[in-house]
Amino acid sequence: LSLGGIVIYVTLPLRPKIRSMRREFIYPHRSVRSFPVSPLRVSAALGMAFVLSAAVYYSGTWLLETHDRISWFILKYTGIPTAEDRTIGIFPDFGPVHIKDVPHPDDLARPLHTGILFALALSVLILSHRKFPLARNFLVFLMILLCASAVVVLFVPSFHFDAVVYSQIWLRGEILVWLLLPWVSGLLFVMTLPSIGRGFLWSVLIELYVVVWSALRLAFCLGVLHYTGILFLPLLWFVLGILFDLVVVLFFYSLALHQSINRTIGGRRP
Amino acid sequence: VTVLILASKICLGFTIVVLTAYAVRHYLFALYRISLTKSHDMMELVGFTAPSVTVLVPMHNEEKVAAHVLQALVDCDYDWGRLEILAVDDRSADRTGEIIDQFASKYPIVKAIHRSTGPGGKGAALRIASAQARGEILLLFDADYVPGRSMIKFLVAPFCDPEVGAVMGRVVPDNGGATLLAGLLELERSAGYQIGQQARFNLNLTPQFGGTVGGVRSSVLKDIGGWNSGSLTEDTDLTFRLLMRGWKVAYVNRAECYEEAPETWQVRSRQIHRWATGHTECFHDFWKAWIKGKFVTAGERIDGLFVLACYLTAPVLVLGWLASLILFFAPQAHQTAVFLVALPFVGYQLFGNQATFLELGSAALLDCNRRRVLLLPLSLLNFFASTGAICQALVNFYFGGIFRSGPHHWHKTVRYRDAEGSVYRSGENGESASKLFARNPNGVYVSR
Repeated sequence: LSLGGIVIYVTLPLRPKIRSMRREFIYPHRSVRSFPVSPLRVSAALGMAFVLSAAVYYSGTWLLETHDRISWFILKYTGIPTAEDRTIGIFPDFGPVHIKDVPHPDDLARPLHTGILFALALSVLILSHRKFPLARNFLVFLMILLCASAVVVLFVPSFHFDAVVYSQIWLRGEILVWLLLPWVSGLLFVMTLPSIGRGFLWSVLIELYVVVWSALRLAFCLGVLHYTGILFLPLLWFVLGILFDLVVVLFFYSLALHQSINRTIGGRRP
Repeated sequence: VTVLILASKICLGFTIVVLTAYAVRHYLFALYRISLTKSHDMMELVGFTAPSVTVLVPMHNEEKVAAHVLQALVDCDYDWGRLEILAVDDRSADRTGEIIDQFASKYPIVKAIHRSTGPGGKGAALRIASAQARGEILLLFDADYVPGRSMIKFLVAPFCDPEVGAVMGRVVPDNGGATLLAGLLELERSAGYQIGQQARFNLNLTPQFGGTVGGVRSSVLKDIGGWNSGSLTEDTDLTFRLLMRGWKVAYVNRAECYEEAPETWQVRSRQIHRWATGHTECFHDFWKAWIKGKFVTAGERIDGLFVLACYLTAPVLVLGWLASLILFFAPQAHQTAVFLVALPFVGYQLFGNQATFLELGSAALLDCNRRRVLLLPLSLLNFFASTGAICQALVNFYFGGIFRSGPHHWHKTVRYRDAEGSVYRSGENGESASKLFARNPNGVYVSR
């Protein structure tokens, strides 16, 4: 090359470099494979968990009110009427928040209607029990819940739920999940997945998703309350409550692992 | 009502403490295993001469799989002068005895033992076979296992350490694609071996001898009184007797052997019944002696108690659920929200065979098991199913004697292979495995 009188000689290889027949490394057998958890990773996971928990702690009341607004919006959008606000405390450090009441039928005033609903729901569970062998014990658990619920609703008049009390129980559980979740995410996503960055991303997205998803589930439960009374509420709390949060976390964990394993198989030595 | 609420709170608190202890243990195992840097001590083989080996294969009505395991063992890369295969036809009513005789007449290293009377069960069959074995090392394989060619060498290697009394290899289901249950069990087995057993071995805790894909020193077996033919889990029984006499159990993660996982829930349920009953029997037999054992280290002592009591966590969890149900319907239910949150977060993590989902995920990551890992959320079904089956088994164990007397019944695990040539019925792994064996015109199974 000639640049303003300066001549530069560049030597190019005449033949391309012959690729060795040997592998660059012997990919380790799975019995000895490992992903070292370095102090940096542990610090990153703990730091992320601390920051996210602190964010939930300091914005707790705002999160709860936002949660309530989303639920209320869904109820309004689906045509379920809401009564006026009531102010309730969640925990000493969270709340008070304004929660809307939802009118619902009185189960004790119409025992036949409640009985028919109970029989229908039990029939569906029994049919599912016969159809899905792997889910049998889970369905038995639901049947026990439903029966206990029916007994309490029909024969213990002092037991009474309304939308506000139910929302209070729901939010007390959920706020604890939101506080605990960053530590679980730190362990599952940041500490053990090959990419720390993706781990952060998953953790933050799951935290946001869990809040919105909880509002959707609560709206669904309140909708059921509006149409059928309190018969199904305990069952819904046990199934769609914290257990469902865990299933959601597991679902995202499996997706994150699915992606990571793809990258690992791509040839990067752990 | 006040007493009931108080009792429920105590019960729920106890459940959470127990489950948290187990969850922490499994979290530590998972974190330790994925960041594993310690090499295997048993890999130093200088000056080690290959010992004589007897392979014991007890079979009861195994005509579908008998030929496959015997052919795979004959094909193993080990000096035939030091190898003996004892195939035990344990009161079979099908063609198992005929297949064994066929192999015995063709290969001098295969010896047939026919047993038509006596008590049933694997322990009883092993007791008779061990008395006739001549090898220094006794290796064990169940009839549905297909060992690879290096398997015997892998399993024998740890015996170069004179303190090792027994060795255990890794069990890998080969029919994970057959049904949802088989896929979930593949994840569970992966966690149990890749994470649990490996971490326990490297941390000098209590890796378990699993009764198949493993071996024991012949002299040591005699020293501790042989197999317990009355136990439903003769492997757990042997593990604790070995450890209490100062012997070590080694785990070899590289010694992978393929097996058939149960494909239907009925079969799986019977398997869990047997394990839970036998294991809990061992808990009652050993826990006092284990606490006092003079050869047992502090770590082994604590971990051993966790292992012995592992099936008891299922009824504890159910009691916790019932307590949480009572508290939910009790006045001021929302006061207990803290406990009710903690319960699922620690309880629901102990899926299936006592593995947290971190353990399941980490094992899938290490195994690069990309396809099965998507089944992880469905582990919840397996967890409920296993918990129910364990509770049934334990109710039967503790209260069954009121209605029934005599020894426990040994339920044979159903096999799914097609005896007429193809090894597996379905599944992506099965298709490749079916290329291993075929029947020749004389009706003998040979490697393809």
